[in-house]
Amino acid sequence: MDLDNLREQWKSLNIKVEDLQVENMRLRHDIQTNKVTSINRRLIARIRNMLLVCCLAPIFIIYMKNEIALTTATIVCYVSYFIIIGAAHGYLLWRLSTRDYLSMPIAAAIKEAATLELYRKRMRMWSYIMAAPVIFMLMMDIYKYGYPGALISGIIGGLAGLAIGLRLEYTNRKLMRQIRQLLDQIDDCNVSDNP
Amino acid sequence: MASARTSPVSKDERFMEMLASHRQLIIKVCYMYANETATLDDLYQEVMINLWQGLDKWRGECKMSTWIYRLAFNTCVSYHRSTRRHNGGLQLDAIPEIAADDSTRTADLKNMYRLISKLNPLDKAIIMLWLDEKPYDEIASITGLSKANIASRLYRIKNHLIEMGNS
Repeated sequence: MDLDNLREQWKSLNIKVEDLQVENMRLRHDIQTNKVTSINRRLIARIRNMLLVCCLAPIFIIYMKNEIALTTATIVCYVSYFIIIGAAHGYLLWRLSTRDYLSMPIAAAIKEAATLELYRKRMRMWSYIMAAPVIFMLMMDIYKYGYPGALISGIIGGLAGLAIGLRLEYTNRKLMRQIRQLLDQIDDCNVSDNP
Repeated sequence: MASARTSPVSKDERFMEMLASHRQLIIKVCYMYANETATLDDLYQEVMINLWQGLDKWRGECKMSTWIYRLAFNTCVSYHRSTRRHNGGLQLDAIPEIAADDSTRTADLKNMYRLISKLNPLDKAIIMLWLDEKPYDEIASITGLSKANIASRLYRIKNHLIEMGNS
């Protein structure tokens, strides 16, 4: 394989201007009229919504406590879950909103993106696993309140959450290993954040 | 060169002028990183959006091409698969056919693309900048690695590509 020859061919690789011109004009129009937004902004919006849910969910339990005789342990578990998950989402939101990784040197940007991706996957997995006991305890209280079917629902819900979390861990293991290898490679380099 | 506050019309002109000067660079970067989960169309759109949004932030600390390279590469390497896709736009397979004027070049370019696609994101960026004949200090500035590191990595990448090409 002659790399120098390929370099010449690559240099002379010219995309037909007319095709891109049409595409550029369409995109420019869509961007200006907000018909399209960046992936990052959509991700930030989703995380912000999740954070809002985590903030409102503990309030919901106050209402439920009056309707169903929830135990203190259940309430503590429930509120703690949403505080932990909310804090995790809050940190991710802060990091995504404040780091302008697009103008960073590439090595630093790759490291940042890979670190965040690893964090998101872990957070998602743990949110499912931690939800299992919370769901189970809620359903136990509802069962004691007089709804026998709730216990079975709780067990099913808890096991389903646990299974989803462990399955995510299993399927993401290879990807997470690749991300960690990439981070190790970049850490070995002489990385500088200065432009 | 400081970037002054500009009216939307002026930003529009600057944006189209920037695209006219650097569209080859942008499409080549997107082409290099496109795959099954991140299509050429998705990446190109994402880069366009980020260029538009970032244009006012560019203060002239580096060359425009350096800034565009960084933004395009960083957009491609950090791309998450979008759940919403729009129809039409650029297709990956069409690019060599559009560009090459003979079938031999098309085959060579596709083969090179296939080999380079197996590299990790950072090595892809380095080899692409080398293919674009950027000097080592500019590659170092864009990637954030030292010149010595660039030289050794480039040597390793080229040997790796030759080995893959010959096997």
